[in-house]
Amino acid sequence: MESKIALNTEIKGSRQNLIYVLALLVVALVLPIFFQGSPFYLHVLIMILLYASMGQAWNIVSGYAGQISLGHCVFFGAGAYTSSLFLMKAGLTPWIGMFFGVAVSCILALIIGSICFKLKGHYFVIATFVIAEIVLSLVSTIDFFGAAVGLWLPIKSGLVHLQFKTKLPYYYLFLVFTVGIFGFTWLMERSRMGYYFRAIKADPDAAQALGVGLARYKMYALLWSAAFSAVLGTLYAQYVLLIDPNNIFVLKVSLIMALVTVLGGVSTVWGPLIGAAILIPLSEFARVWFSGGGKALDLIIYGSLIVIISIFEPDGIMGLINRIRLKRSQA
Amino acid sequence: MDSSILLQALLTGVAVGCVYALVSVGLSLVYGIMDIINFAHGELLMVGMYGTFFMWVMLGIDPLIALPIIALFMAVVGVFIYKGIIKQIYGSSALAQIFATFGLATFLSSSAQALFTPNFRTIENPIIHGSINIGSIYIGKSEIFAAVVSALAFTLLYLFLNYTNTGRALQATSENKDAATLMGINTEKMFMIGWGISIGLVGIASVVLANYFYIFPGVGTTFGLIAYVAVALGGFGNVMGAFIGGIIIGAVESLSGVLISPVYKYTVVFSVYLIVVLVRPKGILGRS
Amino acid sequence: MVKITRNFAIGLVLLFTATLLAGCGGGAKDEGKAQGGDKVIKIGAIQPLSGAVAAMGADSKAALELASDIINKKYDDLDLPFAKTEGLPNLGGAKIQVVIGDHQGDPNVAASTTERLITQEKVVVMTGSYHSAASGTATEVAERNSIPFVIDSSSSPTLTNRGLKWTFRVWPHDGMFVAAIFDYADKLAKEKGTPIKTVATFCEDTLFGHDSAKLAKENAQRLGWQVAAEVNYKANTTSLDSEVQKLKAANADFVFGAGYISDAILFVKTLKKLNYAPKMFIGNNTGYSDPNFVKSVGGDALGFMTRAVSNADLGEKKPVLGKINKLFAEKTGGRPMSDTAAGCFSTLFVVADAINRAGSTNPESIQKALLETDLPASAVILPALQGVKFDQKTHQNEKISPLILQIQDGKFVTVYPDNLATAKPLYPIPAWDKR
Repeated sequence: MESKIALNTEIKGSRQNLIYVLALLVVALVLPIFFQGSPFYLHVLIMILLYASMGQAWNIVSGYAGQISLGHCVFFGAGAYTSSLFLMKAGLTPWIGMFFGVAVSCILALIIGSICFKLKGHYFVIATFVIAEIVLSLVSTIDFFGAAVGLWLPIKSGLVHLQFKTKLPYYYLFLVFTVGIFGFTWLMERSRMGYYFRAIKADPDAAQALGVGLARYKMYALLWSAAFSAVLGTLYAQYVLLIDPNNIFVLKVSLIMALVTVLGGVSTVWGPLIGAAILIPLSEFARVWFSGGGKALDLIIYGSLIVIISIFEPDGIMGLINRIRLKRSQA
Repeated sequence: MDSSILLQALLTGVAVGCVYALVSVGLSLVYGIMDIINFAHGELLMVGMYGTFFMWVMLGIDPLIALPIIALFMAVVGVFIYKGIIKQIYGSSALAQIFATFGLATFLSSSAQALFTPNFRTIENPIIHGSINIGSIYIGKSEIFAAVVSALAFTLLYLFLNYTNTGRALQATSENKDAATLMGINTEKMFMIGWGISIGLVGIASVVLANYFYIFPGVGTTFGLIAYVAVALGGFGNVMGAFIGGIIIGAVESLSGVLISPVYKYTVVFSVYLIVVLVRPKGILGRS
Repeated sequence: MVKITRNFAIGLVLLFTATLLAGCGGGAKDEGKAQGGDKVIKIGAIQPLSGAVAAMGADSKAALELASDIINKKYDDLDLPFAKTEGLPNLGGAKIQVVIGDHQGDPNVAASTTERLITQEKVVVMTGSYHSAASGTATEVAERNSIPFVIDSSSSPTLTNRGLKWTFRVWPHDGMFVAAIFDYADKLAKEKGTPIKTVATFCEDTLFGHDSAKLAKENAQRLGWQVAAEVNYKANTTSLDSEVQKLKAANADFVFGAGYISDAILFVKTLKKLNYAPKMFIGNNTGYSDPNFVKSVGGDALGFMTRAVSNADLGEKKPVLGKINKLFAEKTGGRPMSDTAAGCFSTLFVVADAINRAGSTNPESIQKALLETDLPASAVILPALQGVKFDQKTHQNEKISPLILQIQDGKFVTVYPDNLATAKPLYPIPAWDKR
């Protein structure tokens, strides 16, 4: 059952919310200064921003428009690989390579969308996953893509190369893009397209009866989602400097994009950030504390968390918050 | 290409396809009754395989004898999963349903890794081992056994579904829940039975597989994935379709391995899925 | 339902807060004070402690712990440098402490773990890491931070070809390994009067198998052999029937393989089922030299060969190896010391030696000392290392001569080089019905 609560209470353009957002922004800008001497904590913050943004990208098509994809690693990887290939083979700066990445990702979206949107329900989900597996197969065997070795990016330094020697510039870079993607989502939510997305999710037949072009708007959602995922892929490649198919085009990546959003709350602007802020530190620190036993403890916690969320609060933490807000305002 | 190589590939493909088929049938059954895809199906196969392994290594019980025990044990596990998780998300959004079983899958495979370590285990010298050959065609006895058991299990299921009252009630629930309730069928009980049978079948598959395959925490992933494809191929909800789908996939996988390239085996399987599902969106035998 | 969800919410908030707080605090553990208040020198190590090869990582961890124990304490009956003293003599007996991090086979995690070890744990040298992709990013982090990184078990040739000044490798790389394998195959076949004309490759499809297959083709070309079949398969596949059928059809004089333990086991079982026994098979270590391989299919894998850097049966020819094997078994409850673990063990000694000669924990001095390393074979327990001397440009250890092992009677025996051989090679591998 879709939570009508989320539908109503989110769309409040009140001044109070604006103040909260600005406060959060100030905190985000100032936060890394406390962690200056510790690249590891900066790394965790950067990962939170990255996964929050990836989650938000997924959110657009799978949360708001309700087309649940488990193959989103394809779009992320398309961005990462395209800009990196351009860099390595043509010396093109990733700033421009990023646009090519978006283009490739959108073309993939057009192809994948036209195949998958014809399918309903579970067929669709499995199809997205299956396509990701096909892409993994191809990229890891074709030499042009670096095959299984992957792409080892050349070391450079400077904004023009989108590479930095220290973590701080990366943090602000990711922050800028995160704000951009979140801002877009906030605007999209209040736009006609956003309403159409939600209509398609809630009741596709009714939406179609009212004249909403299902195929068209599903495709818009997927295109935006793919474009943002690709941009993030480029940023990621420029951060890690080594991308290989078995760590990019895999279910794990698709899953985390979905997870942070489901935990935080699908179809909400803040959901992906909340989810990432919980899951990422959890997995990073679980590795530090529990490493040495081969125990995959963070995965056990993830798994249990998802089951619990699905049973008790499918709208995630935002759903919980909204439910409490509603109870309060009704009291 | 030598025709005997093709024949060999076809036979081994069908043999492994029967195992795929058995795994897929349970998945299709549950979907038909409840409209829920169990994304933890492959991981449950892994659980059954570990169960078989530990019965062998700790109690010295050969898989052949462990078969009914594990099948029953897994059926009970199925019922528990239904009561503990599935019942709570029945009627929830598609998202909740997908992630509930996905979360379970993650939980199971990582728990297995934590408890049993990622090492690969094999059952050595089970009662059924070795291979037989006809001319230049070789086939493992374990695989023949797996195929026979699968076919038998499926036949029993088919008879159960079509010739017993409970079975027919299950089918009725699958076709139209509301009508079934109106006719006095206890749908809740049907769900429970459906899950029990579904995972019980997975239990049988896990035993025959453990007989010759290696066991490790991630072993369920590939089989699970193939099961989804087989079920979609045959048509969600159609048990016979799932069985045929599994066999077809086994054959396609094996033949494309020799005809094209082993690395692209699954690529071909997945492409076949996409083609079938686009041309006939409800699958080969799906309800339309 | 509200009560449940409210409690749930409170629980989640607590979890999040606890995670953050603990994370801040947790990073500060392990300040490194050994008993007696001695100065402690921290050495970092990244290994795959979770994931598919976690068992390998656990063995490497045990080997590192054993090595640091020997260096730090007095082991009078061991003929290794630093065994008879406590700690590093030139630094006033300072003890070394190995701080181990898990990289999970992910290059991103490897980079951040290395960074954490360098910036928070303040290690003076890094070692690692088995997965070549993980070593790829980790060495770059070390380079940025001007900390030496000594590779102990990653074999991709690319790692020492990037012109990095702070990266060193004690372990041989795949280029050396595969060349050694092909040369030996050539030699063995010629000795028996049946020179090789055709070769088939059987490699899995991730980085390792891919590199191996490429090197195999280059070596085949070098020796003038025809590649009768190039079979690449998906790692962890459910069936190898079609793959083995292809090999059987090609019936090459020599089959070269690269794969992990699960595929290796399935491979042997499938060979038996389809009644094909290659005349000669040499694997590129990993799965084919894993103790579990022998345990599972040792009887059937008769005659299978693999390259290696160490072998348990060399305990007699190299007594110190035998003693270390025993100590390792005692420490791990009976597990045999694998190649990789032995590599990690030896590398720690190389690192200790460099720090000792540098006489300081200054990374630049250690880097200089590493460049000047010239250890004899007796200083390292790996029989395949004739010592340690790094090429001045690539920093690759040049004193390598890989071993070739063969499975006979369900265990590994050394068949090459002649001065270390403990058995005569079995060639050709007998057909299934002739065993």
